[in-house]
Amino acid sequence: MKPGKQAAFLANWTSQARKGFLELLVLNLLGRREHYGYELVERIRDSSGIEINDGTLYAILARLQKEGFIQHRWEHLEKGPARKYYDLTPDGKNALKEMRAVWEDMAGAVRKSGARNV
Amino acid sequence: MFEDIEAERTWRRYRLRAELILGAVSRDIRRQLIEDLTAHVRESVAQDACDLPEAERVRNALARLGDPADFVAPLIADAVVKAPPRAGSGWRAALAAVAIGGARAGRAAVALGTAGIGALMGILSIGNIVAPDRIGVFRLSADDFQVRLLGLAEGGGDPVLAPSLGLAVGALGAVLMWRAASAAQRLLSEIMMDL
Repeated sequence: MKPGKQAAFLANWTSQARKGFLELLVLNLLGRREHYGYELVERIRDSSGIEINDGTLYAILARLQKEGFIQHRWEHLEKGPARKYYDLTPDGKNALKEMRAVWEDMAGAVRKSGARNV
Repeated sequence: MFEDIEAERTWRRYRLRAELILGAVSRDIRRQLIEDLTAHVRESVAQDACDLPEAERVRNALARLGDPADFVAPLIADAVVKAPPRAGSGWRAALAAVAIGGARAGRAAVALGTAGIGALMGILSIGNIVAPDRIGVFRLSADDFQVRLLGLAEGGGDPVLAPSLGLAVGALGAVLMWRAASAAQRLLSEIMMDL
């Protein structure tokens, strides 16, 4: 495969793989404790090293909220802008459990099937 | 939202663009996303280095957010693929099916008519080249013209279509038939995708 074509393929594959991964990552972080949006973006950046546009996170949050996996509450601070805190719903906790299991299975399958000579 | 006029203007432009792009998604999601983006930009501007002018901090925050067209695309795709069912959706679906069916029938009729006219023009053109004295357009009197496609009858009159004009009619007929075929192909693809 030509280098340009390979790079395009990898970029596309990474983008596809990242979509599901980011949803799991967001649910995982919210499974530990509630976060507000800005904080979540920072945590994702720190914990995964993935460079994403902040807007991508909000699209994911909107999607997860529409599915009923997360809920929010507003906190009005004396100093500074109001913060919208996100948290998992019971459905979200179940979904996270299922998604983690799927992720573990996939990661295990990749490890088991990995070619040694690559 | 911001004290600085330029900062406020930059934010409003971005918000307007996001709202326009979000036009395809449900009102709830649109409201939520705009609310989130607003809170995020406020927080992001508050957290950014305070020695920078407010307008620059807003620009930085918006650059980190990215183009709304990019991050909103999956939501729009979701909205298109799984629009939530509404009350009376059966009637709406039936009406929509009738409307779509009617529009498609109309498009099919236009394609068929175009193909028919194109075919007639093609026949006229070829016939005019092969038998110019029997096939073509003939002037019978000062304001009486006759189109003869098959050339079966001896009708008299002066031929009007010169060979070059006959060729032009043929070319036009070919274009019409090609366009009709393209329209029919598009229509068939749409129907196949719905099945």
